[in-house]
Amino acid sequence: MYKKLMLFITCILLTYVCCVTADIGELNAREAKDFQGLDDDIQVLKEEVLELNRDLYILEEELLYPSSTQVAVYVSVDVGDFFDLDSVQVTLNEKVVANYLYTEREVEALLRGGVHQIYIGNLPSGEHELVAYFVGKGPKGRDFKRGANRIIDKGLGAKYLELKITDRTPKHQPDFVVKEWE
Amino acid sequence: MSFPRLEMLGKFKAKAILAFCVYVLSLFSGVSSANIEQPSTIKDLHYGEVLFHFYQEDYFTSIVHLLAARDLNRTTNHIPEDELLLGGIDLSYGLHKEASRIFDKLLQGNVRDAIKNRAYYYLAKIYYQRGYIDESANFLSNVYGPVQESVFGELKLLTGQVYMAQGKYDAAISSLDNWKAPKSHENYADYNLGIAYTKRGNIDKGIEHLKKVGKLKAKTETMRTLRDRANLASGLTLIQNDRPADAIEYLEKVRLEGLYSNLALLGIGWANSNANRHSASLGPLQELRNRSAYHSEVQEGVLALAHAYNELGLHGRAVQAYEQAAGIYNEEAKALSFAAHEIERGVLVDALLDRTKGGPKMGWFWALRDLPELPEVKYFTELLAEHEFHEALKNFRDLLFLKKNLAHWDENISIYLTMLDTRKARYQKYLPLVQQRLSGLDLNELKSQQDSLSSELNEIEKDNAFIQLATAEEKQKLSEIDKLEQRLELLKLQEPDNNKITQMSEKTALMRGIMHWKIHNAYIERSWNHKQEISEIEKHLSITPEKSVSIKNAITESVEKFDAFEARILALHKEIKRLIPIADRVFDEQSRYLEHVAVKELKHREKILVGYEKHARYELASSYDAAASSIVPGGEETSSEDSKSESPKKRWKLW
Repeated sequence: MYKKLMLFITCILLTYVCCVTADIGELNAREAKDFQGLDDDIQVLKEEVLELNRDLYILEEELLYPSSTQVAVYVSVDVGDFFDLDSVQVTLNEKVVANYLYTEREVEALLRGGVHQIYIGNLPSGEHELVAYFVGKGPKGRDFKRGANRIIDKGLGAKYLELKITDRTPKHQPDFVVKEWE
Repeated sequence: MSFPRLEMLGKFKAKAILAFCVYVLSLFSGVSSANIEQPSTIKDLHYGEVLFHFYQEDYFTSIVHLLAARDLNRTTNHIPEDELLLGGIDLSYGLHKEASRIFDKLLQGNVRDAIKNRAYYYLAKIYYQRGYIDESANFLSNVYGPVQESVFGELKLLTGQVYMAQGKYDAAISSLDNWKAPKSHENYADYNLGIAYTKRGNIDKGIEHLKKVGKLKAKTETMRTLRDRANLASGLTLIQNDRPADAIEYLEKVRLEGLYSNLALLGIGWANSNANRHSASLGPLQELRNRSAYHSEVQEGVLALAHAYNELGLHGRAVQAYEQAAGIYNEEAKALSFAAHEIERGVLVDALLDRTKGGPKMGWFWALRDLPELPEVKYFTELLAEHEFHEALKNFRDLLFLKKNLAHWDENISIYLTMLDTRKARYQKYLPLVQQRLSGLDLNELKSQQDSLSSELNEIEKDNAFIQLATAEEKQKLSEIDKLEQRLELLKLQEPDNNKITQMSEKTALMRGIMHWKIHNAYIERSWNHKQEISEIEKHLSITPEKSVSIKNAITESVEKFDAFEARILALHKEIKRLIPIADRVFDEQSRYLEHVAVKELKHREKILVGYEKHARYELASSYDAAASSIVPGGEETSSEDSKSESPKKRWKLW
């Protein structure tokens, strides 16, 4: 008796589920007709706006920072066991040009291998002094502030500089290096 | 037991099992860790800069910067990884077609096996995410040879997931069981293995793996959710396999406030009921009843609670619970109907637009969970769990960002024209001056002057003519000494015996000596400085021809450059103007689609609730009979289970 009842109930439930499914099927068919091609339109639009922004980005750089005078400074972190980065300050020829406080999300991106462009500007050819100050927590969670400097020789092409934070494992200390890229 | 009672019980059990099946399907699919791109050596700073944005999930900026970097040949040391990265970011940004095109192109090219394998992995992932399991498996089967370490773990997990989705649990087990997963992946591997084993029927082995994940010391919300999920999967598996008493231990480990808390509470209630511990099922089910009735677990829970009362012989309370359940379903169905109506009126889109006021970046960084808190749209958070709504909302957000981005450029691009005009004016002002200087420049004359200076210095050195390097002041003083000496000589002739004149002559000679000594002392430094200056002049003169050619070229090119810049700006502005109405149209369509998806889901849920209400009312009627026969007028209702095993105090506590 109980088994028969269960069968009966299952049939009712299946009918109910089928009704709902049929309704949904009908809706889906109508919806597919109404919104046909919307996904394609979105993808095409996204691609076109991306290409537009690429062209605008290049135009902006060429107008504001021509390669003959362009200087860009980047921050990177390698390993980072002995230093938790909070902020970086960059001075060029004794003038502060960048002061950046990093969010947790940005530090995470740096630790995963991302490189942050902290400054882009213009400098004439010749020698210039760059000084960078790194602020954060050092070994054992102590407040830590270190500087690194370099005399750079700006030639006719764009100059790229990398402020690199690395671990000096034997000394259990962080290391801060300014590296020049051409 | 009467006929309707049996029917209701049967329905409740069947419905609960159905519900569990749905949960189990979603819970028992494999899980993957976040897509991890381990830091490889950065050989181009611009490539690293793209990664910086990509890792923060700012896909728009990372694609724009990568496209620009590739155009400007700034990622040449990362070819063809840069293309692979572009495909990966496109994929994250929802550009499935473009991503597929990139990967297909890569696979047709002559690239390393490791690159090809990554492309196959990404393609398999695209197809898996879109539900094309067999195609995904096909791409995975092409992976052969070396695989980059960072991708290897993801690939293994995906392979296991695809096998499981195909129902090939043995293959999933052999793929994952022999793998010594790195720390970042081991919990995911254990979870998937646990699911694969339980699906295969090896419950104990499956629980063993799930237990490991269920015990993990989670530091992040993602890991805490995974832990909950593992404990829930263990509990539900044990209930399904008629081991309800064992299930409770796992279900009780699920956090009370987490994503799976409702299901865990329902599971505990259900497990106790199955173990004939109906009084123990009351606590979690009562807790569940107090939560938002929108959740299907809560809807199941109120019926389960009434059922538990019936089983305990507390028919009066069962009547109350059924009444309450019917009331909840009725209210909730009305609220859903109202919410659907409000969404059709446009409340959802208006609220979302209001939420995302601000600059273009606001559109991008607006988190999907950060939804408006309006009474009409209180179901948004729950709706987000629905894949279709979630995807529709993501596209809505992206389109809103595109609209704001276009509006921003439309407003600001004229700044570049102004800047260009300023530069042109400046150029016109200084051009004649520069041209005049350039025309008056005689490099040969300057070179001969420099040669002459150089030979003069050589002569001075050769003759040790240090006086030649005296300063103007020193030369002035020496000339005054000369004049003084001449006057003294004349005076001496007039008065040869005058001692004072003699003394004055001696003093003057001493002054001359001191001056010579000073000039001689400074000679080496002065000579070195002059040499340096001559060398500087030489250096400048050597680059002057190059510079003057460069300036002459710049003069001729500048006019062309200004024109080219102007043409580019105008063309880009035209493109912005073309895209704005397209973006508006697509955004409006997407808004309608979003509303449609939301309304469809709400109506679907409303329909289910109407069905639930009917069941509750039907059972209510039969419970009235049972209640009328069990309650003695003026006496307290006692449960059949409680009267056998529990004290009255405990019973009241439970109630």
